[in-house]
Amino acid sequence: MSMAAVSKAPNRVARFLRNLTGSMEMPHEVVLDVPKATLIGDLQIHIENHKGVLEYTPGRIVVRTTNGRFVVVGSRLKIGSIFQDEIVIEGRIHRVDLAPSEGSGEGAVP
Amino acid sequence: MIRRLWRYLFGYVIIKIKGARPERFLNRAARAGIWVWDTERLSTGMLVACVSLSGFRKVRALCRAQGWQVTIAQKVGLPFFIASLRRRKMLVAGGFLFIAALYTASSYVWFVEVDSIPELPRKRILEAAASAGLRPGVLRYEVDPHEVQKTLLLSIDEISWASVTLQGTRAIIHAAERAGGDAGRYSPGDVVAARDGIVQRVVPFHGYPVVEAGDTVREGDLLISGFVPPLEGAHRELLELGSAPYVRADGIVRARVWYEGVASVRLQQIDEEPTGRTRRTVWLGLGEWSWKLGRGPDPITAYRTEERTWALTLPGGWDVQLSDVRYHEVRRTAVSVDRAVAEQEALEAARSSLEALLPSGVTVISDPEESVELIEASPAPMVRAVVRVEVVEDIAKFRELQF
Repeated sequence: MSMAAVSKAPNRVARFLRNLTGSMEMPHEVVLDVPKATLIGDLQIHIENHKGVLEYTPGRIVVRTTNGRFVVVGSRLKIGSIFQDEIVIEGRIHRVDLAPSEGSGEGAVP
Repeated sequence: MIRRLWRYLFGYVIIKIKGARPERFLNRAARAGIWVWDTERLSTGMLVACVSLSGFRKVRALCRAQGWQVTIAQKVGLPFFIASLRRRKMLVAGGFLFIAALYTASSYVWFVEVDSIPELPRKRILEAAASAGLRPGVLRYEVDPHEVQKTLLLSIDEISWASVTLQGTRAIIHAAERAGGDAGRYSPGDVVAARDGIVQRVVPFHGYPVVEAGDTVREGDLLISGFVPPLEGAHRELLELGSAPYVRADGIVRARVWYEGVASVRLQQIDEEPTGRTRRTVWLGLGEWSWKLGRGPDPITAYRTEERTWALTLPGGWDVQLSDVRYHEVRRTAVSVDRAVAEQEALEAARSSLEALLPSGVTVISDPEESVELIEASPAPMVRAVVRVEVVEDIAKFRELQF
């Protein structure tokens, strides 16, 4: 499993906020509205601060976040539950990628 | 687990959503605050998901606006179960009736058992308990174990301790015997002869022997008397105490006693040979009436019967009985038996009947005395064998004094 972290080009405010939360030891996902993913073995992944589902098939689920797209690849994948900020994906997870948004068209939540 | 229970209590529906890009439905639902779980993408244009009852109303509006087709695949949870019960009123009534019947039936005492040693008078214990209100068929809460216990102790002398426990529909009476045994063990009386015989030795423990060695006694004759003679000091003492001048006689009286085994064998025996012809009759009985179905045997034919019966008691006390009787015709022929063989057979039978008669613990003091005689009888003469032995046994038997 590989995870590629690609961040958006930070502007000055964002950089300031990031430095501030780092020095104050505050949770990044709360202050910066960045996604937080928790992987439980290869059975389940919780993604907080998601911005919607882009693709949903039993082999691949793509979730949009402010940092890009979380691509979950596996078999018999399904969405166990979905709330406004949290999504739980279940099944056999083989790989999780964090890909940059490809233009505003694809990144936009339908 | 808790979440699952919660979902069940409030009810949810499993829905199918058909339309282009159904993942969009998930996004819209999440944004609208509808909780969606256990989703599954069945095909490109179809999604299955669970939504709560309150969420489903919003889902319908959402789908209608977006042009997705939504159908309910299954309704799950308590609200739906209650709704289904509303349609089946008799089932619910039956369930309540069953619970009520069970509750009612379990509030009665159905069995009363006595847990005590066999020597205590079980029947009297049950009667005393019944008089104190503990009998099969009474309400459990009407039974007062203390009252039953008190009644048992007061009415039955042999009991020193009693307790009553109610276990479901069963009441168990525990009773313990008074130390020293039953009152009857001390009642006055005599020792009499249990059999005819010649007295060999008398060992009195209590009372006054009235026979001595060499006396011939018949069954029921007095052997050791419980009566205290007027010349004895105890006679006056007993009278002063207000009792009869009697003690409980006890002792051993060994006597020579004869046992006899008798058997007869006819010199002509009837052999039965089945001819193979059978008849069958079925009897149907109801109460006092019975009906014959089928032909019986010819009146002159000799036959052996074989009967099978099924009986059943219907509610209301009607006895229904079905008997299947088969008559097997036989040919009877008289066969004469050799006298020596018949005598041997009779002796064998007499010996075994004597063996069955002899009680255990007796001392046989003579060789068996065997005799065979021919008796003229109709339709054929027969031989009669008698085997006699002399034994020594204790013939003492206690007989309670009858006033």
